[in-house]
Amino acid sequence: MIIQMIENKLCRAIGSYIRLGNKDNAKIIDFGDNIYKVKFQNPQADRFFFFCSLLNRSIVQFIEEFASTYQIYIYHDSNNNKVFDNVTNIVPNHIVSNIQDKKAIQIPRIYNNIDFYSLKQDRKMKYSCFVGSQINSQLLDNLLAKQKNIAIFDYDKPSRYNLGRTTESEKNKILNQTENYIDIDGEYLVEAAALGCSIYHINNNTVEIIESKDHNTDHITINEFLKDIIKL
Amino acid sequence: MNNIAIVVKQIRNTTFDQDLINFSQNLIKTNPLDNIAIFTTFYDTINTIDVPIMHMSHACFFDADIIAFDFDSLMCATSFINKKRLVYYAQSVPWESKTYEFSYLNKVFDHSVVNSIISSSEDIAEIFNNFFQYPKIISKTLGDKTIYENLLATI
Repeated sequence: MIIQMIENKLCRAIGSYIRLGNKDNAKIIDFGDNIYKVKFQNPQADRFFFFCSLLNRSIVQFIEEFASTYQIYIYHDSNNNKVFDNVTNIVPNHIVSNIQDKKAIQIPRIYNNIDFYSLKQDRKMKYSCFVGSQINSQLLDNLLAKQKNIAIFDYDKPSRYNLGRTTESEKNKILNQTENYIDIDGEYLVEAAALGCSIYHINNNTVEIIESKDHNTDHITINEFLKDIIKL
Repeated sequence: MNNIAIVVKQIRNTTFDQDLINFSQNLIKTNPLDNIAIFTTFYDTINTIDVPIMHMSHACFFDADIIAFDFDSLMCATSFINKKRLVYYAQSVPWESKTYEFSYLNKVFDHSVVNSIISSSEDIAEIFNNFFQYPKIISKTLGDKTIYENLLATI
């Protein structure tokens, strides 16, 4: 199986699953618009996993050409509603809600239970926050000017509160040491809740953090997702 | 006290560096039986009477407590094999101007590596306290008399 490489939580979780399970039949490849070259180099590959946000002309052409020959999965990680026939559309319902395809597989958030597990450590950090690309940096700056005990991670802009880039295993350690997790894009919401952090979000109007009581933590584990849905 | 190595990247003719020399002179005066020296990579013409200044490369075998005055020196000092205790005098937050890998910061600011941090302001002390659980020890300048008490308490 060929899996398209992308810098997101799901792709990192699939990577961990492949490494841990020695899945020789699966490869994560950053192929840009060279999907035909990749297919030529891997003639035995008969299953492909694409991310909707990275679809380009050559991938779309590849899908249209080989949808009936190979098993193709498209993970809808962006809200562009493009649905292909004869492929398996996987729709995370916290991202995309208005897909018309009745055959699409609707899934909740994916919980990476491979890299995230309880370490039973002291909760030394009061607040922490993994900042994705979708952050309103002005809002974050205003919040940090008010509240000085928030440790933020994976933020491009250097700041005295920005403790730098992290890997998945470091995120696991951080969540294990954090009392309160500030959720911005919902990416690590399930992991933080599962590891016992109280969940907060930023109120855009008052620029304050508010404890979130009714957050949706419905999830499917990465093992279930890959074994039951992708059959990896 | 033990022997003390003061490590700093550069000594130029600035107020801070003059304060650093005065601070070292005072340390030597008050502890005449201990070996106290400054280790640096570069020094400019400056009044350094009574203060031995050597190249940083000699510091790694010096059997002493280390006081680092900037983050680059601190990083060097973490690998000194004969160091006893390592103290960092923080005049700024190192990751404020450059983004680091968290694993790296976490490794350096482990209490078994950097034993204590003396901060030059309340804000900086609070950052190290919040994120790496160092107790708040504040000495605003090197001329501040509290720095000797703080050093005695930490070294």
